[in-house]
Amino acid sequence: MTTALFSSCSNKDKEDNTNDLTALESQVLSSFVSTLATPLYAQFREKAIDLNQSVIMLAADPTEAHQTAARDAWREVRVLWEQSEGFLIGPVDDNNYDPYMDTWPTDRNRLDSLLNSQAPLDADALAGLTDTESETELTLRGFHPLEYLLWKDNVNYNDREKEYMQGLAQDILNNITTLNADWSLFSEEFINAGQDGSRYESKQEALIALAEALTGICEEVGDGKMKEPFVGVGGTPDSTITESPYSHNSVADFRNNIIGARNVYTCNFNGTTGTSISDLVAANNKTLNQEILQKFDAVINSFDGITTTFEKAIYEQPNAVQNVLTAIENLKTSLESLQPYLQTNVKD
Amino acid sequence: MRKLLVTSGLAAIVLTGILCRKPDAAFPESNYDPRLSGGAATVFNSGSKAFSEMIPGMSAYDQFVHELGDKLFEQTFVTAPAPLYPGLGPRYNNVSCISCHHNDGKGTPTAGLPTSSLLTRISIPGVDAHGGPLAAPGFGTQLQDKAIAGWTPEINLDIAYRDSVFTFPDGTQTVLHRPVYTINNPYMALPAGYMTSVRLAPPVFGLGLLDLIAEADLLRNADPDDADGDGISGRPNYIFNPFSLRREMGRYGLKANTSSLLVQVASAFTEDMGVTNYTFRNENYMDAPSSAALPDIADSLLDAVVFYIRTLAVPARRNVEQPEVVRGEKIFQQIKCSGCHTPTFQTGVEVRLPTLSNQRIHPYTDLLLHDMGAALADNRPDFEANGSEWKTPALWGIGLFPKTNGTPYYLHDGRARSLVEAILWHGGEAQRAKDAFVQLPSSDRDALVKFLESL
Repeated sequence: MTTALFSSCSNKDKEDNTNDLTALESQVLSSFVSTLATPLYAQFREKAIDLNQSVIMLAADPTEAHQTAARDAWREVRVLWEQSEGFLIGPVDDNNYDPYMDTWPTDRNRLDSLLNSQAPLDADALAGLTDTESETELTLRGFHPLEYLLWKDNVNYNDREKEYMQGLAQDILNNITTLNADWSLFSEEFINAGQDGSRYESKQEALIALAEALTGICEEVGDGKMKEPFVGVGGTPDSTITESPYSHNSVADFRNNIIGARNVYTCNFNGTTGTSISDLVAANNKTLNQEILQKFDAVINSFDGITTTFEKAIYEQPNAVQNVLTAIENLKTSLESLQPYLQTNVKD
Repeated sequence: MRKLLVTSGLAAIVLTGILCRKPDAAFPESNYDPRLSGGAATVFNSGSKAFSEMIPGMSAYDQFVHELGDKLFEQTFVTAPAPLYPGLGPRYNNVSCISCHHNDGKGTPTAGLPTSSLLTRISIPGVDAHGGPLAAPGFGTQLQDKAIAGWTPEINLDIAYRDSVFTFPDGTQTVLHRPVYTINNPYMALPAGYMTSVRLAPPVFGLGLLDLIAEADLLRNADPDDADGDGISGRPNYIFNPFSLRREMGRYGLKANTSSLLVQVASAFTEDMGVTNYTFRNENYMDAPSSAALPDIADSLLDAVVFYIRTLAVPARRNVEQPEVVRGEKIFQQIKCSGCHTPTFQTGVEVRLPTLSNQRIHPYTDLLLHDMGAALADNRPDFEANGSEWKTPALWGIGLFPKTNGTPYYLHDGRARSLVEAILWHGGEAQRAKDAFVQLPSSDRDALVKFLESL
C-alpha cells in the first residue's frame, strides 16, 4: 500500500498524462467484481426470495396489506435489477437473462387468454422445463406480467391469477439464481482478462466492455425508455408505452439505471468503495474524471424535477422531462471519451 | 489566336493528366490498413456489441433514423389489438428481430424457444410462376413453429445430433455434430414430396457495403462451367423480386434468394413475426385474406429498419501484425479458401452515405452459389440454387462470434461449434481446399484459424 502511494506520488511529479496504470487496471477489474457486481447480484437474489415469499403470502391470504407488501417487495427487486443494468456484460447479456425477466410491453391479450385457459402456470411450465415445446413467450414472463397482477385495483384474485403470480415470482427467482451461478464463472474470466481461458484478450478489452456498458445504458434510458413515450409515435406523448406502466415505477427505474452506471464508474455499492474506472481516469485526465462525475450527479439530480409519475410528467411537466434527457445526453457525450482514453492509456 | 493556343494548351495538360492517371497501380496494397475490413465504414469495437455500431460520418438526421430502426429491431411485438407494437402472428417464429439475430449477429441453433434462431423453409417439387420454390399447400414456403392464442403452430421442429469423429493425419481428433431434423405435430397433413431447409439467422451488419458492390464485379468471379478447371464454379442466383416485380441477381439470404434489403427485412417481418407491411400486405398463413387494412407496421418504420441494417458498420480486424496471423492469411490464399471467400471488393458510389461509398472492403465472400457437397446439402432448390448449393457467407466479423453470441455457432444451420469443425464440413467445390487443410501440419492449421479469428 505504502509503495503504491509513493509510486503514485512520484508519478505525479513526472510530466502529466503518462502515469503507468498497469497495477491500477487489475485492481479496477477485481474490485468491480468483488465490491460491486458479485454483492449486487447476491443481494438481487435475496430480494427475489423476499418477493417470492410475499407473493406466496398474497396468494394464500389476499389482503390489502399483503398486496402492499408484495408491491413493495417487487419495487425493491427492481431497484437492484435496474442498477445491475448499469453493467450489462457477461451472462445477463449472453444468456438472455434480460429478455427472460424484463421484456415489455406485456401482451395483454395473451395474458388474458393464458389466465382463461387450462395451461399449467407453475414456474417450471412457464420456463418450458416440463414440456420444452410449451415454453411460455417472453412477453408473458418476468417482472411486468407480475407487475400487472400485483397492481390489480382490488384483491379479488381468482385461482388462476394466484397460480400465475406464484409461478412468475418463482420463475424470476430461478432466473436470478442461475444468473448468480453463471456470473461467478464469468467473473473469473473478467478478472483474468488477458490470460488464457478468458474471453477478454486484454485488460483494455475488459475495461472497454465496462465503458461501453455505461454509454449503452445512457442510450437505453435517454433514447429509448424515456424518449419514446415522451416523443410518442406521431410526435405526441404516449403514456401507454412506458416501462412499468401498472406500478408507475418508471421514474425510479430510470434513476436507478443511472445510479447503477455511476456505481460502476465509481465502484461503489452499499457504502463500500473499491478501486474504480474513475481512479483510472483521474490518473491521467483529472478534467475528464471531474466532468463525468459532475454529469452523473447532474442527471441523478435532474430526476427531482419530475414531481409526478412519468406517465403524467410527459404531459404535464415536459420541461422537467426534457431537462433529464438533456442531462443524459451530456453525460453520454462525456462517457464516449472513455473508450479513446482507455485505448491510449491501458497498454495491456 | 492567343486565346485558342492557351485553351488548347490547357486542354492538352488536362488530357495528359487524365491519360497518365493510373488509379490502382499508384497505391500499393501495403499502404492500406489491413484492419479496415469495411473501409471507412469500419469501427474499432471487439466486444459483444461489435456488430451493433452505426457507420461513422452520418448526418444527425440519418443517425436518428438509424436509432429508430435500432429500437424497432429490438422491439418485442405483441398480439393485436394493443396500444403499441401490435401485429404479432397469428403464426410466427419469434417476437422480435433481435431474438434471432442476437447482438445483430448469429443466433442459437434451437427451434421454438424464445431465444431460438432457426427457421425452416418448405416447398414441394416444381417451381412457381416466377421460377421460385413451389409453396407447400397449407404451409407456404416457411414453417411457423409458434402461434398466438387460438391458433396452432404449423409444426414443431425436433433436433437431434449424431456425433462422428474426424481424425487428422497427425492423429488430432475433432467431433463433428450432424443435425437430424424431425417435423412433429403438423397442424394438417404435410404434402407428398415436401422438401425442407433449416437455416440459422445470419449476422446483419455490413450489408450496406455488400449492397453497393457492382453486379459486374460479382459476375467477374462467376465461372459456371468451371472453365479454369480449379474445381470451383460459382454461379449467380437470379431470383424474382416480389416488390419490383423484376428478375434480379440475389445477394442476401443463405441461398442468395433475395435481391434487396427491403425485401429481406420486409419478408422477415411477415414470415418470421407475422407483422404485415407495405411490401408484404398479407399475413403469412395460406389463404390469408387479401388485406385492404393498414399494415401492422408503419411504412416509415419498416424503412427505418432497412436503413438500420444498411448502416451497421463492420468491426475492424485485430492482431493483424501477429506473425501467426500473417502466415495464416497466406495459407488461406495458398489452399484456395479465397477461391470463394473473395477477400477484396470496391463498393460503388452512394452520395448520401460517404463512408459506404467507393470503399475498399474485405468481406471474404463472392456472393455466388457453390456446391458444398452432400453433407451440407439441404436438397431444396431455391430459384437457380440447386439442393446442394449455398451462397458463400461473408467471413468478416467471424472471429468475434464468441463475443457477440456467448457461444459461437457456424454454418447455415449452426451445426459447427468451432471454426475447425466448420472447415471440415466443407465439400463439393470446397473439397480440394478442405483436403489441403486436413493435410497441413497442425501449426499451419492453427495459423489459419488464428487468421480467421482476426477477422
